[in-house]
Amino acid sequence: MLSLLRGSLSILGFLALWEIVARSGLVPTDYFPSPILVGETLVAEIGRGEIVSAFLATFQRALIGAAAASLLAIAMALLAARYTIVRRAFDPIAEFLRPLPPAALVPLAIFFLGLGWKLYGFILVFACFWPVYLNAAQALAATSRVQIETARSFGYGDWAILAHVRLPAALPTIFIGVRMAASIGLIAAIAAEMIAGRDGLGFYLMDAGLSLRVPETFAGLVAAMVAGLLINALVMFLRALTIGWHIQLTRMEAGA
Amino acid sequence: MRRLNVPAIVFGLVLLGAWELAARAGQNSFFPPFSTVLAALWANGGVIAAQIVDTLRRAAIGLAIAVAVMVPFGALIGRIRLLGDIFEPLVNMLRPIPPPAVAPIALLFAGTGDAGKIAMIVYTCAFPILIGAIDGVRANHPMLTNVGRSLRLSRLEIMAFIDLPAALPVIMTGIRLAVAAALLVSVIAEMLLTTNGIGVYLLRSQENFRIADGLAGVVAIAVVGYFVNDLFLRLDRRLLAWHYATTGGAEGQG
Amino acid sequence: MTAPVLNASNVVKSLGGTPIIGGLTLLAEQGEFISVVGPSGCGKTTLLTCLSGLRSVDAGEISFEGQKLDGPPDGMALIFQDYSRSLLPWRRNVDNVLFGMRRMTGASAQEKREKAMEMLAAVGLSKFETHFPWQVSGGMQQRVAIARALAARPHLLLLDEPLAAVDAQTRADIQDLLLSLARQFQKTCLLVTHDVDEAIYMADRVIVLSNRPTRVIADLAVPLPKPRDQISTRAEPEFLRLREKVLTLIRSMRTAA
Ligand SMILES: Nc1ncnc2c1ncn2[C@@H]1O[C@H](COP(=O)(O)OP(=O)(O)OP(=O)(O)O)[C@@H](O)[C@H]1O
Ligand SMILES: [Mg+2]
Repeated sequence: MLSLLRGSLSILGFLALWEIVARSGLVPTDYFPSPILVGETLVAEIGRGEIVSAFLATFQRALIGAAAASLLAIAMALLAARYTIVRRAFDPIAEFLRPLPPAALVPLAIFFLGLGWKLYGFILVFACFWPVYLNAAQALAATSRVQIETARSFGYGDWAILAHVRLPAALPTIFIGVRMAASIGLIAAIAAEMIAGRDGLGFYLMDAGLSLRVPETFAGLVAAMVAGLLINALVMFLRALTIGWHIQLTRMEAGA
Repeated sequence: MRRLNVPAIVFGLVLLGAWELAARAGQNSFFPPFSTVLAALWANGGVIAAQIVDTLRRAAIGLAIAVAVMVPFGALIGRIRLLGDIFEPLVNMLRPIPPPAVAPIALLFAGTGDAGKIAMIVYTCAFPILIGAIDGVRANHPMLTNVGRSLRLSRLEIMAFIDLPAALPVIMTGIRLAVAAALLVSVIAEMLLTTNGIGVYLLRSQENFRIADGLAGVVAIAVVGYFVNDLFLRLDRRLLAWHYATTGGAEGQG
Repeated sequence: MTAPVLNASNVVKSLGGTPIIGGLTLLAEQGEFISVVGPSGCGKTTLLTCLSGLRSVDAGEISFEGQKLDGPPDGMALIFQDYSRSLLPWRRNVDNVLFGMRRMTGASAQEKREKAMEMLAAVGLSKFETHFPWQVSGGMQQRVAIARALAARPHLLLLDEPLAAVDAQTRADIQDLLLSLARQFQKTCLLVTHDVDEAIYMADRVIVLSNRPTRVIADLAVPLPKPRDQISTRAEPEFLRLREKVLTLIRSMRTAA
């Protein structure tokens, strides 16, 4: 409670400082709108609706892309955990493709896939796949021997151990990857929209920025920030639903 | 000498072979076979290399600025309660902003030259590094600080000789996240604030339907990305040998 | 005549090129409680993983209820040395017990759950069914592990230093609990321990192992009356005689090593 108060105090102070600087005339107001102006613009833009549909388009893309990539990556990691040969064949390729900046794929992807959902599907799945896969593969490989042997002695087979022991044990680490994937998904969606330039927050921001509608640009930035907060909150909610035990355990260990 | 990873080599060759055969069967100039892409890489090697150097240069400058500013800043925020109270809420508020979204603003303030792009990169790298530094100094065992006190070190000396080295593993994790992000945003920045760099090269290839040249650029940036990543991994291993020796292996990837 | 519950003959096992078990022979009859003591690091845990079918042997043969061992069989349960890590932290205590009942086919989920609750009650944990293992003390965690093993309805229970990490009072309590459960459910038990007093107190037979590569160097009957009692049993002259004998054997190995 106290920390919440302190937090809002700090943010209010920041906004006040910004307002003062904007009004003082130290910087040209054309380039540096005051927070109040940005707030008013945001409300007006929401009224016009364009920013809302841009927000929804981007958020939907990021969410679907990150979710699809996460499921795919977990499935792949399970295969790699079950069959060593899959892991040995796939991991070097993963090491090679992972550092490839997804934005570098956008121009050619536009050429092959057009400007529609196929483009975003490809770019987002490519961008979000790696953090989930790497975290999942590493965590699945690191299951404690005692747990695996316990399961085996109770008659669990390899697949059953994967489902009942290795996957649940790996979930906390997998969520680290999913959280990264969610924020990367938003980044990739906005970047692709900026480059492909047709709709979404990326297009909105670029359009406003290039036509020097500065308050609108800042309003778009606020919308992007809300999208970031929201998608992260969604992941954390999902995490609390699935691995509540781990959150409780870490809290207990931190308290002890 | 490492043992040859046969499954990976076979799998890689099968993928490339499939690409080659499918493209040859298709006879479509928009879907060039792998050999054509390799030839394009060979023919355009000089141009591509020059562009990638521009891309990497900006990424490196941006990363260096972010490290130089954010590591000390994070250590201060993590250590001094008041600064933490003031800045952490702000960091948490700004962190969710997806970095490309600041492109138009970087454009407004710094133009399409190097400055605007580097500003974007600095912004992108700032958060993982800052958060790594804050978490790093906080995770320190208080006993270490007590050891420092008992040796009569000053507060600054404790920070420099105990806090920072002990926080290095977490800081390095932040830096490695920032490296990937720096490269990504460097490419994005070029595509948006077009002047030069591999991003521009890729855009032009697409606009002029030079697909093989474009793919050659993608292959080149993948190779470079791999080696940059590898370089930092080695650096990490070298700097943190003591850490991995005591904890028994690397944890957490990204 | 029925086959012995467990019959290991001339078992040889190496790990990573190091010979650990060097020709070990061991027989367990129905209903027996056997203690195994040996110097630390001599290969006791390795022996149990072989006896439970988790590891294959290099030479020799192990059979369980007349069947040659090939992977973990039905009817055997293992309680690990590292009990706190053998419990699954994402499952509540009752669900950890349920985890041990995979082989119990034919029972409905409801029946299994009731059975799991029953087992937790048998080890005195009725009030902690919905706690997570990490929310209860070490002694209670060990009881959960015992309940889980018993819920699998094993004929043979293998225990690897189950009480090494709990305090003295809890240890005595769980020793008596194990003895009464073994009697009540008529289990055959094989207990590996460091603690010579514990080995004698619990067992019908004490087996002493040698240094690595390990084999049996003594097999002593424990003719102490049952049920045992923490105070009077430990004061019996026979108890003290056995204790001296086993300690002497172990000390002679330490000087030999
Ligand atoms: N994979 C392996 N390769 C080589 N040596 C091993 C391996 N695993 C275990 N050992 C060695 O085998 C020996 C026996 O190990 P084991 O755990 O069975 O002994 P133990 O009698 O149970 O020891 P403790 O009394 O500590 O429980 C130890 O000395 C250990 O160092
Ligand atoms: Mg052992």
